[in-house]
Amino acid sequence: MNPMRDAILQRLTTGKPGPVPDLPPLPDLPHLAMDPDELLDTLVKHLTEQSAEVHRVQSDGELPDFLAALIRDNNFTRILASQDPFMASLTQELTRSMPNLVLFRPDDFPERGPYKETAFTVDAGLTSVDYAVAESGTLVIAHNRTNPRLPSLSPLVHLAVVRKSDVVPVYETVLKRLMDSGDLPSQLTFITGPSMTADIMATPFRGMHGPKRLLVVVVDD
Amino acid sequence: MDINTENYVNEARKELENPGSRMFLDFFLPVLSAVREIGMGSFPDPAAAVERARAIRKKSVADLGRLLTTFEKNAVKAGAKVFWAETAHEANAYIRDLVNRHKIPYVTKGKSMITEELGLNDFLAKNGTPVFETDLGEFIIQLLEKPPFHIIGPAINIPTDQISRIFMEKAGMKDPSSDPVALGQAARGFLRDKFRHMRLGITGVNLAVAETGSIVNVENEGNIRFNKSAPDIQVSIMSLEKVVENFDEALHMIRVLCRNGTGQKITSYVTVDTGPRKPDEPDGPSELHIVILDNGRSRIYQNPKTREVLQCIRCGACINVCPVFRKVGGYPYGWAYTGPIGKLLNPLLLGLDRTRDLYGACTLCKTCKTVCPAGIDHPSMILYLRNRNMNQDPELNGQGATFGERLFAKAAALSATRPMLWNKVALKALTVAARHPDLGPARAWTLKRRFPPVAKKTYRSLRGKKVMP
Repeated sequence: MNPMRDAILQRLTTGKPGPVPDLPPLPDLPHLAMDPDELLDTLVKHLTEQSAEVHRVQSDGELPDFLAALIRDNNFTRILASQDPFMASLTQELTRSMPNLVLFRPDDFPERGPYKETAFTVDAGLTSVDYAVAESGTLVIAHNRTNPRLPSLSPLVHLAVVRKSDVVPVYETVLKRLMDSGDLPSQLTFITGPSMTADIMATPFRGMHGPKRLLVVVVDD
Repeated sequence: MDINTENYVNEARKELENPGSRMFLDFFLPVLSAVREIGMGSFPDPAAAVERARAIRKKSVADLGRLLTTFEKNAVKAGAKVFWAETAHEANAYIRDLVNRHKIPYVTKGKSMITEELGLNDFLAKNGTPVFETDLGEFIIQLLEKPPFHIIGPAINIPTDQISRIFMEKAGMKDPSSDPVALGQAARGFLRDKFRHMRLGITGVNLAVAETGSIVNVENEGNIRFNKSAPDIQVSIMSLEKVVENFDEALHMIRVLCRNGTGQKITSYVTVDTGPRKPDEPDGPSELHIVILDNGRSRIYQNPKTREVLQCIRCGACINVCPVFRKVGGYPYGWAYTGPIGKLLNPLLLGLDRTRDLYGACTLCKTCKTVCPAGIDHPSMILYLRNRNMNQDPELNGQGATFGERLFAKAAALSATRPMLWNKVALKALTVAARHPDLGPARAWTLKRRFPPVAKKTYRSLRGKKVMP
């Protein structure tokens, strides 16, 4: 090991050790006591507060037609989509019903360069989420090969599909499930509303570097 | 960045007249503090949430050596490369060598006060490597060559016409604008091109989680996400105190940090990185370098009285409530850290000799301590620093009293113990000083405060000589 490391650690471990306090108890967040319907409503409420545009459909069966209409209404012609099994079958149906839509999947690109070019130039990124946290209306993506990092970041619009079974009460639920599965993703992203800033004269506005609009379709499956 | 902590008084004078700063300090800071209160109010029991956050930070710092060793072990297991830097130069040189080895044409950077502390931009510029700040506020002050005004909003006081001019000159903006949104869009367009072709991105670290070797970043703009998603190589620099034991603690600290910083329950983006991208992933860096920076902190740690300052999570709450900051703003602090935390960190990292006015300019009102979610007792540490300076503490470069202070104390002691001298000379001098507040050696004091008039007759003359046997 390097000598700088040892010198630093030596200074941190010699001398009077401070007392290590016990953590005081904390009352549970109210979300832990909510039933699935309340959780979903709370999620939608918080999403709306953060200026996400929320749409609700009743079942997986309605989703393809609803999405197609949403894409048409917004004039999205080029979309980069994630490709987990749920999204893969959904995008298949979309391409079938919308022959003019140019839909890219990460696997279409053997090289990183053209993939990045595409991610920076499409009209929207379409992704599923791994979890949606009711506590603050937060979408969580555990990035991997099928659900990579850029589709929810580099396009001007992020179009996310949330299913009722994705909804969890608090952040701890997400981390507990991931830790129990024994496999933390290389990157875990918590998304709460569109990108924003208030760096100029404390004037807040949406769409700084990331998406300007966050469209969420919630499926009451 | 240049260290300008010795110029406090001049910078403060300028800021009292600076309309951009006045606007922010007089109107927005009280609003920010109110927003923080509302944010904290969303906890079922805000006081308990603060107590827990304070305990987490105290516990983490008390156990720092073990937590860092565990963090390192798990980060390496996840595939990250961990580099320990004892000094700013070692950290800078490590990053420069990476840049040179991989022939990186330019680097982009997320907002991070630690890279301001390192002077990384200037260091890489000397190496011929351009650095692009990507946080909107930091991008603006980089172009204007100004220091950060506030750790959360580095350019929050800069008027829009100034931003418009510099964007047209240096960031390719076509038409002038006073609209913050249009200015933001111009910066977005300019930096987007940098993100698209970037190969090395640099970020700070808000929290490190020992149990998994993960690092956490908290942001609103998305620039840090780009810096961690688009490049081949990611360098994340953390000061060594950022580590906590596990995710339960980290998630509570994220809640508290966001509420205290901007009043949000959580910022737009929070990212948790555990190692570089997996081989089959299309995005993310193939190399993740984590630089653990000491730069004087382990020395701060060894003194049980100053160790507490390492509990800071850089939320900025103390800055927004400080009555001195609300008058003078961020520039007088002369370095990366401003407000009450700057009064502690800057002297401890730079020495008491070049930061006298930082720990001097404090009214000891204790508001900072009341709001601090990390459990730092700023006022008592400020008193400690003043004491260490007067006692010429060699560890902290304490200088003792100034020549003028020593002379005044000598003269006061001499005359107060000699009745003749007191009645004939000292009392006359005090009477003159009371009549002419703009004259004399104490004028900095008497100009702003009424000097009480000296009574015509002394207490002793009224009592007669009987009191003195």
